[in-house]
Amino acid sequence: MRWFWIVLTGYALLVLEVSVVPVFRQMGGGPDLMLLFVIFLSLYGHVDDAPIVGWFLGLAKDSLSTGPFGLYAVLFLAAAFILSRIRSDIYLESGKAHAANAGVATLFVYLANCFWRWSEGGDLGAMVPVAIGVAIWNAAVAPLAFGIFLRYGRRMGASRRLGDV
Amino acid sequence: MRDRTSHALKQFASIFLLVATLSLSLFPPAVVDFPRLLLTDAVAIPSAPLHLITSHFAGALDWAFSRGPSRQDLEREIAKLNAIIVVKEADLQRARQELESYKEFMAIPRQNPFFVWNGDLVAYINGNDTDVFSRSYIVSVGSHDGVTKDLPVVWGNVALGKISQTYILYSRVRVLADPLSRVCVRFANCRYEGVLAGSGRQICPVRYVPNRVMDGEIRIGDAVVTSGTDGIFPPDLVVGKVTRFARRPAEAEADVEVELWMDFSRLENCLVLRKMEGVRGG
Repeated sequence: MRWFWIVLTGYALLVLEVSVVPVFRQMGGGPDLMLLFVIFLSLYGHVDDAPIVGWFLGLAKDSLSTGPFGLYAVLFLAAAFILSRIRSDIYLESGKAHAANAGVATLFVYLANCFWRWSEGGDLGAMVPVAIGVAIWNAAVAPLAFGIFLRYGRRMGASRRLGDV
Repeated sequence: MRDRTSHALKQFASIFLLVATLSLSLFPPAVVDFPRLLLTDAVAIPSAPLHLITSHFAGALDWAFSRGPSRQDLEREIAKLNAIIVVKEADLQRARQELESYKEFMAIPRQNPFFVWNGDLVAYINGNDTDVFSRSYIVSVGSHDGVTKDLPVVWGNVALGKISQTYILYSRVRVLADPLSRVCVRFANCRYEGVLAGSGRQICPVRYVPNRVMDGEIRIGDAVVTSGTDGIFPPDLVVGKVTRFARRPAEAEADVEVELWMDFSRLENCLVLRKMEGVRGG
């Protein structure tokens, strides 16, 4: 049953990313809600679910973009895999810790994205500030987003205490 | 035991998915397009009303926070514009005379003979690209409405982009600012051609402009239009204006940048131009 709630949440976030989030792109990139959800599941969900969910959400993001198909799928899978393996070291139940984890994870994902696009001929100088902007947005939104996700966390198999999963 | 099996299976699934993604280039296009086909129509339907609400909200915020000009400001602005109009009218007269003489010499056709347009489609913007580095939009017409790939999309006489993917009810428009967009353009004054390469921003470079362009032939503020030679856009659609021009002595190309006319963040609707199949004019 938890997969149903994970898919439903992912679908809702995808709709928001397509319709509402682009308004914030004028203000330095805007948040990446799909990646925030993947980070949340990596920290709070089942340790083996996060990479698979990350792959599917990344692929969904790729499907609604004209960018390289499969890039976000690989990046989200890798980020979820690493975060879920080191979460006992980085997990703290505080807003600042959530902001830091979300910001750093987002920065790594988007910088990897930038370097891949730069290898394909993109302008690195124009993309890196956008990547930093998205990381800052994710860090700012993470405490609120995680709080909302945690309200329905049990249905998605997520829990505050690591020992539960 | 069951937990260990489940753990091992999920680990295997993660590795399998990673390898499958890295080998996507070996898959047939139909397999790669399947998730796009599935998701675009499913996501565009609920996102359309949300997109409408947020774009109206953003417009209202702009209006609420902008400070209106005073009467004196407006009168000063009108006087300045009147002076500019007088100068521009003289320039326009000179340019028309030059153009007439060029037309007689080169017999430039008024319309591109290879395009006959039949039944333009009005389309509404229903969603944006999920990737912050790409610039594309989901529009409300699809293969059900006769839309096919590579149809040009315009707003009045301004070129916006072209259809990059079609689905049943919706299509995706790759706009000129997208990093993968390439459009054949022409400088309206000197008629030199180049290729506008999208950069993800409002200002985009124009490539393959020869370095032999003389000083004064391309100036800041010159209009840039579509040339029609790419077989996709009709000629003379507005693209933007020149913001930077510099000759590079050691290179074969000049360094030219163009600011796109259309602010894509304010786009609400557009027109998809449909070509009549197999018709060539003479």
